[in-house]
Amino acid sequence: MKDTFLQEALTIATTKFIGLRREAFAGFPEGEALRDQARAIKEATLQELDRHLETLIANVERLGGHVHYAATPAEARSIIVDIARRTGTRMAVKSKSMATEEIHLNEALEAAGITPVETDLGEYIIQLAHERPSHIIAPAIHKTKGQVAELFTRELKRPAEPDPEALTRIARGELREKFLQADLGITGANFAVADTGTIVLVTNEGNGRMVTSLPRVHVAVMGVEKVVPSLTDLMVFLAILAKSATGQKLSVYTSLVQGPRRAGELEGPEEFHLVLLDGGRIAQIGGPLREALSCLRCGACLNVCPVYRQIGGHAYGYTYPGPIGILLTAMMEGTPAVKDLAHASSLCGACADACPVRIDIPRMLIDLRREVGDRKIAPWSERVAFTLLSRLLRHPRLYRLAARAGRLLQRPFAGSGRVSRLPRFFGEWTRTRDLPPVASRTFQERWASDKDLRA
Amino acid sequence: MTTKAEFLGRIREQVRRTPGRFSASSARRPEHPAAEAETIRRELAERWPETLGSFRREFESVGGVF
Repeated sequence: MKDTFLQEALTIATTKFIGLRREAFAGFPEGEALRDQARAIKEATLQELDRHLETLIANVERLGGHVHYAATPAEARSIIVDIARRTGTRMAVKSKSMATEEIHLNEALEAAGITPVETDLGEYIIQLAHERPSHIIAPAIHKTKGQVAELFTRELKRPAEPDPEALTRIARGELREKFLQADLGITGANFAVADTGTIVLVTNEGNGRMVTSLPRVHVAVMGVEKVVPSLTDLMVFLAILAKSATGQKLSVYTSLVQGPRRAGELEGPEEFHLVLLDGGRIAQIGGPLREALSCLRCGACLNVCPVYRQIGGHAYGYTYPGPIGILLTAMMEGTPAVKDLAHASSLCGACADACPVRIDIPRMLIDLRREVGDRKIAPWSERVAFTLLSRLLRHPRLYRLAARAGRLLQRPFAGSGRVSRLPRFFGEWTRTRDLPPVASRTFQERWASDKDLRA
Repeated sequence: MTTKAEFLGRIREQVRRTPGRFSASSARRPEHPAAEAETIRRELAERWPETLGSFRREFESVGGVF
């Protein structure tokens, strides 16, 4: 929070995204009804997920593709590294994909002697900086153009001006060669259409198209929840996804990929592989985080979250940041991983309002907090504090007594209208934050004695 | 490695024992897709002069030479 560059970059980018999203939906009267429809399609798909996946698999195989099944990130990594080794891959170009971030694919490829090259501009910046994405759709959102120019100058050994167009030209020049050299193209999938066996990529830079058409082999990695029944359903999502993410009517490129190159076609890979990833998703079909399986990964909830806007994505510590990221982390890593993160929300509800498929994120965060308490995952001190607070709030007399005691006990520590230092065990709380002091008169005391208040 | 049968079996089991959260259906597939596509094609053709004019205005507003 003390990083002024981070604060500046986050404020500029998220404010811009919020404004663009608002404008996009303001000029789109069908938007609200389509959001409802999108939510209904996601729910209907989950109700028959097995059937839709079977249809997808049959159609991908009919088109000449191969389907693989990964229960865990380790399995997914192993499948992709095996494909890379079998096909003699030395370099793999990647289109932006949160699923491959989730399974830590780059590290696995490097360990196998294969060079992964990120080709989305934001991901390319992050890879050069040896960092991880800090936003679902804008991985380098935490970097200013000046920082990117310094990075390019240092890593690419060439002078770079802090001008977005010039920086993009440099990256484009570097990446063109890689597309032509790479043996393997790796993508995620925004959607997969069961009826037609089509993998859908929504991008803005055209790199997705190059990754899927130039290398000899294409591997797409997708969570099982990304399947949609038909192209008609796909249209509903395409109508709202880009508006929610970047405020665009549509993304610049919507690539529909159907298997490997067929006889007579001039472009496309010789081999196509689809890796279906569980990674905690299947257990949530009937679990408390089921709604989070509807997430489109648009990032709208991050942009409006007052916590994300202050701390940025890296502070969350896992692949998926922001309010939805907390739920996805719980899904993939288990509830203990989010015992602290579950509290990294003001529960203001802005995320639920912004979500294009109306996921009730605050409700699930509250449920997670409850689970953290019920399963005794939180530290004992926190559990004791919340148990005491719960009792006080249920017993008015005890509450009044505690308020009086608090007023007395805080005297040595309260100054300038705040408590900024507490002793011993409580000091951890005030190490990074101030507490408002207990009021000299509680509201109930004022209500009982103050006639003006009641008038 | 997880097999197709194991993978889909786990999904089937979850789907079987989980009631839907609410009554929902996917988008209506067109009954006569070819006819609907033809209608869209015709409507787009009818709007072409208007669309071209709109594009020209936007293009020229950002300095483009049409």
